[in-house]
Amino acid sequence: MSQREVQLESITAEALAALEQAKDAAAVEAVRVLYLGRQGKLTEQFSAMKDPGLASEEKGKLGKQLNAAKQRLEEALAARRTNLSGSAPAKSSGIDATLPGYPPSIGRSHPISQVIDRILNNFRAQGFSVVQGPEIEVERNNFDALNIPPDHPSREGFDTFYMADHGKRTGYLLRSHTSPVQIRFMDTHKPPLRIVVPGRVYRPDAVDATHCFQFHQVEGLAVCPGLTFGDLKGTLIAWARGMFGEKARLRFRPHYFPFTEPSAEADLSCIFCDGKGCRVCGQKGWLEILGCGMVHPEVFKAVNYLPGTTGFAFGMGVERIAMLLHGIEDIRYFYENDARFLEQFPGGIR
Amino acid sequence: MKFLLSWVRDYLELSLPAQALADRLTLAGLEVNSLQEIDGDWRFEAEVTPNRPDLLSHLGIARETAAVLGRQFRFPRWLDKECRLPRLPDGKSIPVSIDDPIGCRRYVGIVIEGVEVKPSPAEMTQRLERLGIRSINNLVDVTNYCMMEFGQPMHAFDLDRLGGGPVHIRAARAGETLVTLDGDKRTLSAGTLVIADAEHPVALAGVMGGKETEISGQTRRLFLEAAWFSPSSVRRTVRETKISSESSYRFERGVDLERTAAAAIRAARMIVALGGGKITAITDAGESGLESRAIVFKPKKAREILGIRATSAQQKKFLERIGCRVVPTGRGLKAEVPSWRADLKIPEDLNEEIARLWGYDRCPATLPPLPREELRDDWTVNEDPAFVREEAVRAQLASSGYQEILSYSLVHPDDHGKVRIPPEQLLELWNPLSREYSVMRSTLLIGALQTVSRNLNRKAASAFQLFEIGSIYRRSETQKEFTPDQPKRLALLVAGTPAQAWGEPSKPLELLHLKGVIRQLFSFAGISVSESVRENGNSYYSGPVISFEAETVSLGVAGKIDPAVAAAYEIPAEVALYYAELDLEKICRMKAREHTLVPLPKVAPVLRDLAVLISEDVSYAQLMETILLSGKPLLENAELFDLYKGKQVPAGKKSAAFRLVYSTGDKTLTEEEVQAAHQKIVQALSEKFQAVLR
Repeated sequence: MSQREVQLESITAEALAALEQAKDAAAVEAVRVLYLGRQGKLTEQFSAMKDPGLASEEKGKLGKQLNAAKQRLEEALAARRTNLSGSAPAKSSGIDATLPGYPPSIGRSHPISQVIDRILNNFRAQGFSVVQGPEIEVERNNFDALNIPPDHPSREGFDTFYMADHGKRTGYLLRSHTSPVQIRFMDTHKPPLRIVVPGRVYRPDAVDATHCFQFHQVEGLAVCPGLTFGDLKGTLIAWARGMFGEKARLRFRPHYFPFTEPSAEADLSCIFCDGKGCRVCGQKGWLEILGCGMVHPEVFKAVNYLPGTTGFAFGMGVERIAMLLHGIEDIRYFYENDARFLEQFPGGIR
Repeated sequence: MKFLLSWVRDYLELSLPAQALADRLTLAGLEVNSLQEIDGDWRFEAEVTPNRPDLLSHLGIARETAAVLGRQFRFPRWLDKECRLPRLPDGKSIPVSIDDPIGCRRYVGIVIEGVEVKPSPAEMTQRLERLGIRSINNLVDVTNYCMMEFGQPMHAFDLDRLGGGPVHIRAARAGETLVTLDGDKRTLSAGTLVIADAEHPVALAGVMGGKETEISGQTRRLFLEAAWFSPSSVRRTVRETKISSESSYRFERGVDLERTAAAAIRAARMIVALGGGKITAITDAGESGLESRAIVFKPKKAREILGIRATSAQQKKFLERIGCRVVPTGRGLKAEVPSWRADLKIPEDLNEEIARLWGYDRCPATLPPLPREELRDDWTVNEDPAFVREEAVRAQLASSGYQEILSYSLVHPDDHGKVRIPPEQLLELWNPLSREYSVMRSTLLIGALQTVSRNLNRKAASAFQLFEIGSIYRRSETQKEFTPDQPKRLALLVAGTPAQAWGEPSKPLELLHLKGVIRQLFSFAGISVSESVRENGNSYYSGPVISFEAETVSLGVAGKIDPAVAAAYEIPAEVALYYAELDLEKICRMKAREHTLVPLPKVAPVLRDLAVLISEDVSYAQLMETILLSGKPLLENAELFDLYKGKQVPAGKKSAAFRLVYSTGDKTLTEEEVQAAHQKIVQALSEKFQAVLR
């Protein structure tokens, strides 16, 4: 190592040490002036380049070393400045970078729309297509074709809103679930098919913290020869992992729905405690999240599909999932549109 | 359904701890919602699905528990003995007439004479009370106890208070009255199923007994009833009388027609054991059993659909455990379904039984294969293109700074009046929850105004840039018959002045903000839309509105909300509201035109600013038209960047500043050429509008 190189090393080390000691922006600036100023210690070293006795080969080498040292010091200066700016008082000159950024004008979709979006996208990734249907429905689509018998209690005024014509009950009703869209779609399409259906549904529940006469559902239907109960489970488990993360598990319990057989209810491993048991899941470790099953043969019969057709269907409540995801304890928040509520859901990257 | 573990153990040996049992039952379809220890016993609270009324009793739970645990349930011998009829001294019977054999398929009546009414023994009282059933006296308690044991509701009448003659099970006649046990005098409507003596109804069949024939301290002769009433008749009575009871709950779901007599005899013997007396007469009218029902099914099919490897022998065993008699037949199995499982009708029902006893968790999870599908000429993707566009509209508006809201589809009847919408086309609910939510909204404005009002009131916000996507509902005008019309709409609302915020000048939101975002949306949707300014007619707007049209179809209007309309929602006059409601369905169904690239100019354009003073009355549209026309062919584009009225401008005048873009695309323009073109524009403006350069 030549004498020049040793000197360069020691100047650099000295400068870095001084920088380390600098406690504010002014001290950092002083270090800069002392080493990189016009007559700075490191700047002076560049004059050696003008030494006529230097061979061009050596000159090149020295130049590189000088530039490297300078760059190293500059980087260290910048780093120290950034480091200090968090605590440093603003200087009157220049930009106070600690000021809040100017926010662009921001809007958001409603949290219910955001959750619907997430649910749909995780099914789209599995080849499901999104379709829609009307909210005012006829009894055939909402009940008859779904194997719900004529005297079933869910058809009564306690459970379903009917439309009036001059005070008299009509055959039109506000759909009590999104399942009629299954019927509409199968009426006009032949299998194989895979659809998901988001939408608003209605039930005559008085409004309180956990009930509302209107809410949203996402419904799914897959029809294809050879579909199994295992396919239903696999599809929903894959969806749950996409939706709630890799650790999410689903537990299937036998249940009853008139339009599926076998039927199941699926519980999601509690997203707050990973299934260990907490206040949200009532110490159970599981959260009830959706209903599903293999499509009942009577449903296929109602839409004139061939006997022996196989398929599965599922449905879930969007408000419930949104409430779980965001720790919302009052369903009324969704329809009050209080800015302080809505502003908390910027949407964004998932 | 609440049940006690100790009670289940009367019928089934069981060593499993309560929590473990609860988990097993839950995973087999009987969801245990709560579990509570009471003095060494356990109370279970489980959700019984409507298809399983057989689980609404302790015997039923014991039977199910055995099946779930992989055991074969045997009806206990000691209980079987209690269900046998003792020899009657002189074989009397009491006449029963089933006048409605559909509403009542079986009716068992037992007469017990010489009973003494007194409190029940402690053990019985305790069991009932732990299940939330109040102990009344030994007779009534036995009927409840046996209902909880067999699932068969019963009723005890004071025989001395029943009028003579046969007991009738018949439809009530219009206007008949009955004072029920709860003390209410009820006027019955024709057709309600009742129990009646020769003259009067004495009980609502399956729902509630009458006050007059109630068991009292003086009761010595008792008439005990156990029957099978049809779910629909009981449901009807419940609906009409608004009474529901443990009894009606079970009848509505269906009780076991083959156990009616057994349960009645068990109860009668218990009454004699606790209250003394003798059974002196018994009548069993109607059907005594069901025709056996069999389902033929293929174990191979079950294996395929469930994806499990359960052998035929295993499947047979599962079905036997739930009480089926299973025999091989041809290529499959024939399962004879037990009387208490009316829900089992088709092979798919048996698939579920096999799956749940095998364990849903043990059915493997698989991913379905992508279906191979023939590509037909009419093939299109299933995805609803209108929905995809709707999603894009939502995302675009959110990124333009607009907040999406969702409001109720149901509104108060006065709401449409407040926003000046006539009632003719409105849709009303036949069974609204309340007046507040009894009419379907026919505009999204109501929800938007409520949102603004609520937020102002709560001081939650002072400025609004809102949108809502949702249906409006009304009677179709074109259809003669009652037909609902439910188009999707997009509502946009701006109002108020944003509070002074960091980096943003505070400027009131106005109509041009609204128009700007709408225009941006149309451009985003790739549709050409023309606009015109017109009078608003008789609507919620005040002043002229901007009407948007594409391909001669109206897409909606934008304008200022009449302060009087806003005032109806308690929005103060100083908050100016601008609102647009657009036909989202039309926007989403219109085809976006594919953009064809305009070649980029090879030479940079020349920019010139032009500021003129003109009369206030000259519109922007007039100015632009003149500029573009007079600037031809060199003028490529002109953009307004400032419009000013005020101190530095004489009264009645305004100053407008434009940025003009001159270009020929491929040739460099000389200073002279630009100057000449610019001059032509200035001249045209001055000739037409007496414009003065600033």
